[in-house]
Amino acid sequence: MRWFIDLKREMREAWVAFRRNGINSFGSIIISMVALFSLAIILLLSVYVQYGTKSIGQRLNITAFFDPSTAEQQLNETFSRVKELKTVSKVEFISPEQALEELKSRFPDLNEMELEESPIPPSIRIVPANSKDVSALIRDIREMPGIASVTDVTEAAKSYFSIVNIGTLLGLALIFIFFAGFIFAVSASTSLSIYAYRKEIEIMQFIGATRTYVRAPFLILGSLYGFLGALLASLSLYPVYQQINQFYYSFVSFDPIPIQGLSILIIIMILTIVLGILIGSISAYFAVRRYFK
Amino acid sequence: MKNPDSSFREILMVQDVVKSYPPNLVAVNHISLSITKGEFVFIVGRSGAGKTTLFRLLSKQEEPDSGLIWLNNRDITQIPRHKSYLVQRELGFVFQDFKLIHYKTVYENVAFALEVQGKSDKKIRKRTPEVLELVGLLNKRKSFPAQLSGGEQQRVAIARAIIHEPSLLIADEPTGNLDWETSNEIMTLFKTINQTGTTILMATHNEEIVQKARFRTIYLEKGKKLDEMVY
Repeated sequence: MRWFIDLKREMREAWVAFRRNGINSFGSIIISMVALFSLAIILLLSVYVQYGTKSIGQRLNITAFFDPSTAEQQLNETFSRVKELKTVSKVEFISPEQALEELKSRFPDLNEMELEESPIPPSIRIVPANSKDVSALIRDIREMPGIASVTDVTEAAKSYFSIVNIGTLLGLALIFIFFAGFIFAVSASTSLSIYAYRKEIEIMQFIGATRTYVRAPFLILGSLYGFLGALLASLSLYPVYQQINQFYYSFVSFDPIPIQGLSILIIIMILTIVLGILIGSISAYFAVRRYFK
Repeated sequence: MKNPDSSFREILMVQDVVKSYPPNLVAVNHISLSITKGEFVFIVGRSGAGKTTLFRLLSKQEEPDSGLIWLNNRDITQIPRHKSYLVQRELGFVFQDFKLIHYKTVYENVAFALEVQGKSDKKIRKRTPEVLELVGLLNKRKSFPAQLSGGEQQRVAIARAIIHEPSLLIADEPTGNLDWETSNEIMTLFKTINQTGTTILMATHNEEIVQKARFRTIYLEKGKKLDEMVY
């Protein structure tokens, strides 16, 4: 019961300090909100990018053409080897006749030509499990017996990944900058609160207060800044989530992997709040340590 | 660790304590003194004599470079810094500038000392009016420090210092901010508190107060114990 009374007092003192430190408190909350909001958006985007990567991977079809002189047994063996690869999601054997039919359906003019046999060699059409694996997969298939050539979709995958990588780097840099600002702002505000309370702290130290008694309200104050910033960030996240979701589905309209957007959003919101409280109290801890050194 | 040299009547024993600050200021220079239970002792010295540093050492706000300090037969220099509150709870402090919290009432300022020490509400409700009665401020318990005179503010500070019944009451220039008449009233209050059994160690540079009270007086100068007068 004693701990509950203590906690009540510490929270009350933290709230008084929060109000006394009005403008700085407001500033700290805004900065922590911006930092956590950017983190939450980057997390949300990274989830969508992951889904997008898988989805794009399933659309980057690789076609491996056999040498026309390859024996049927060899064709079957190579086909089986490709099928067993873990990086492969789907494999389909395309006979020369089937390939010609597909070609004719795409280019109807070909129907007028009298072709005795299909000029297209037998091939296999491969759907990679993930677009990240495309390069390695093409390399593996090229080395297989009987394979004459492989359509290279690496460039398409590469440009996609370079965009994702630049985005990730920018996101990480932004997170770092905002978080440094967040820690600095909460730490500075807590320091100002401690300074405003210096007289009370001095009195407390003379009348036998424990370390926890003196320091806990300031740690709670830091976590309060973090919590309120995180709460605002989480609430501002919903309209952004709606926009991202809408954009994602307009981009990958026939996505075979359904994304559980709302539950991901809730998880990110909870994570943001937990992180806000944690980083807020860690920042306050720095300020408290510096003052009581 | 218990002091084998002390009798149980001794509240405080300071043995050859040194405290210096960089680059070369020796604030307390090999001081030794002892105070027995129920005594009223003055420490007299000009600014820079080492009075405040000595008090900071006694309250573990500072650690000595060398020497031992025994409080209630226990060497407090051996107590780790994070447990200094154990020492502070055996002491009461009164300062020249009162050190009251301006947004708390008289009652709250006094009760604060017990709150900080984790005493029950029941004990606080019982004890606070008692000490306010003793210092003559029960009728002003709802006033704020700004509504009180200097003498009254010092009475509040004294009430806060004795509410937890400390073994030793340390007063650092308690009359320094007060006029002569109010200083006398405060000294009378200190004597009353002393008569109830509280040991008092008071720093002052006011010779008139010392001469009038005629208690044991220790003179300090430049961090050294210069003389000791027993009346």
